[in-house]
Amino acid sequence: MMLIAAPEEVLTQNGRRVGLGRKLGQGGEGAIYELTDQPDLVAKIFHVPLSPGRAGKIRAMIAARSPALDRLTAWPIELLSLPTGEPIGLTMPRIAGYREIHQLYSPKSRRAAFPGADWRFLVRVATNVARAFATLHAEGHAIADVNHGGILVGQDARLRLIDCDSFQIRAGGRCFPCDVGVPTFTPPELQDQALTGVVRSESHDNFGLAVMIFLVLFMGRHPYAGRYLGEGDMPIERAIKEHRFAYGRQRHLVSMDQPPGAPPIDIVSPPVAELFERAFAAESVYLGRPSAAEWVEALGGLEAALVECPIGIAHWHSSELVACPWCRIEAATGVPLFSTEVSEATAGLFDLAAFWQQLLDIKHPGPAPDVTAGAARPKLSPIARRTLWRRSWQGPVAFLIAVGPAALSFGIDVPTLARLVFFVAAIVLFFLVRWALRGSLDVGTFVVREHEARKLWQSTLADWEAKAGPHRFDDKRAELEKLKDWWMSAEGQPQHRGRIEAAIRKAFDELHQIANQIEVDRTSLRQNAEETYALMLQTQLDLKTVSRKA
Amino acid sequence: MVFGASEFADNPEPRCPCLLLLDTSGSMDGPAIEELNNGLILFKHELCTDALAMKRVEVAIVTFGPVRTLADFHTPDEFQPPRLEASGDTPMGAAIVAGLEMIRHRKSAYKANGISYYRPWVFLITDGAPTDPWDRAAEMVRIGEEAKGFSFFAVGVDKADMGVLSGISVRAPLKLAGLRFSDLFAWLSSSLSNLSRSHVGQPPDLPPAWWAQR
Repeated sequence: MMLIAAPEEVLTQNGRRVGLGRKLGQGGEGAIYELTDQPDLVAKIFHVPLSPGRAGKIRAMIAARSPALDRLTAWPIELLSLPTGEPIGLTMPRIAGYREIHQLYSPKSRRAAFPGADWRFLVRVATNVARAFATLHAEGHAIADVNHGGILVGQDARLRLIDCDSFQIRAGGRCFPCDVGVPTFTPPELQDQALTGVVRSESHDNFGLAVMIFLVLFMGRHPYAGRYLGEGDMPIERAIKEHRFAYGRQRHLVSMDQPPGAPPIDIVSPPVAELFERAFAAESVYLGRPSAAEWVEALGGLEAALVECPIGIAHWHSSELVACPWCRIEAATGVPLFSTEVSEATAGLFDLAAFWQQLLDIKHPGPAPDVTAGAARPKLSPIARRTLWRRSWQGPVAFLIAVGPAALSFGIDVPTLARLVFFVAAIVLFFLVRWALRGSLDVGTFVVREHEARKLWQSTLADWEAKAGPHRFDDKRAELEKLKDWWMSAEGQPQHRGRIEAAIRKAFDELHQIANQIEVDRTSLRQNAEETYALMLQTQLDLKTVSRKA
Repeated sequence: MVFGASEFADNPEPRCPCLLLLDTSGSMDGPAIEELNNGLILFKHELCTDALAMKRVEVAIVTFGPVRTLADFHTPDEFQPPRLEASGDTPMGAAIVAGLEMIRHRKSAYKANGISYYRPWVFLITDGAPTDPWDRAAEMVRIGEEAKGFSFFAVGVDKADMGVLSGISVRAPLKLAGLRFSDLFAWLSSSLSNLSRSHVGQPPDLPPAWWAQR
């Protein structure tokens, strides 16, 4: 018998009638209905009555319910039967507002389905995926059929696992296996195998976990979907079977390379990269794969060490990277990997305290360095030296010129009065010559030179103080403080906070740029400032020396 | 950057390419071409209701009468259903050759970018017989099917020469019941949706072709 429409009457195990409401969805093996009297539950009604084995599995699951599983999954609550007693369906919690994980991990659908989700969000989701596996494994179960549709993600990065009746369940001393699997999440040792009755190990599940984490962190790229360097096709299934991890250390040995435009393995921290290497290594078949708990720990470390790129909006990356990987990929491919829209979800995620710590980590540039401190003692300029040298000849030259009349006054026999006249004439000549020579020494030149050099120094110093000083930095810091107060006062107004957050991020970028610019200016302007100061000192010395000797 | 890298960085999901080879010769004029146009609109609409098919299925269109590439491979959200007009003769052979060449190109773009893909589907829809030589086309279809390079489906409309279609297509051609293009494209969309969530390399069970004449 095959049910096309909803059965007219379904009953719980204790005979209570369940009212089926609107049909919410339809899948290969059944349909989902609202329950008219229980809005937080839905009913899954199968097209054909369940086999005794299948019904037994669901009964065992209901018996194995736990608060942790209820929180994390859509675990069955009650078995439903037709009035004839044939089991036909189950009730489970209704999950609304969550989306399939593939909607998150490929950039194209992420921008629409998860506006504002950046890499922080993705790392957190990856960690939550590992936590979910850890919870199930701790209770003895396995997801077994790991796939892109079985994990739902909320806008707050929390998860719900669905299709729980396909899990592998251990309960009441029995194991209820899962008969299906999606090959791209299936470990090499199970590829090409009929999965009916195969008992999955935790290590099998951990392969699917590693693939899922990879998809989430690496922009929807599958770890085995690489560029095959050999001849012909390399389907993912075959690549898995042949251990051709396209991002691994050994990738060239297995003729693989990562696809163009895909993130390199070093976007994750070395401990996380190491877990991928272990999970996808050939030896993992025998040695087992990293456990969910190991992933939780390594991913937690990665999340704690994320920093925001000062240039790209919504770019968060591992602090161990010098350059932002997302800027590079976006520049190379032209694809915006993350939506820059600030959603309520990320407005809630904005951790002001952590952000402020980062801000405090930007070193205050301090006062402008003193460019006068290292100035050497000035030396006379060549022109001053030449002037002084010329001046040192003035006396002797005047003397020599005056010696003639003076000698005449003594050497020849003339009346005393004439002698006196000659003598006086000699003295007058001496001073006349000196005066004439002095006239050619222009002290004024040095006055003007000193004045110009002082003016130049003053303007250079003002420019230096403005560019190499901390004022611009201090102003931007003050602006950020104001934005911070504003953000704090916008408690409970997510949209408003979103806008302020955007302004804070912008101002933060600018602060970075200012700090860098100050460094650059200090380097490029320093020599000129020092030279200008030295020039002024020299002109002052010149002037002083030349004037004194005048 | 390798050609197409942007597109595949944006959406690295495995691809499920579907090439439509559509007869737009003069004989299609009237209700047939209208129904075909409406069918294409419905095709896009149906594919867009499936979030996974939206990222995985790619549609391309080559029309013949004369041979024209109206759309290269695009995911359903970017696929613009054209308004087809009927005129001219039926160069089916050349259209098949051109279409299969497009598939070859597309596959090499997938490979260069590390994108896995399902076996492409080629869907030939015609209401007549080729007016050009078609033996080379038939040979290419045979070789491609043998090498599992693609799956070739032929659909005859109205007075189509089913004998010639049998000569071209390895699979038995199907005859469209009346002008049920809408049903045909609804079926094609749901088959591609199924295909796009099946395992690469393991084709799914197709829903029965309820649009075909029995």
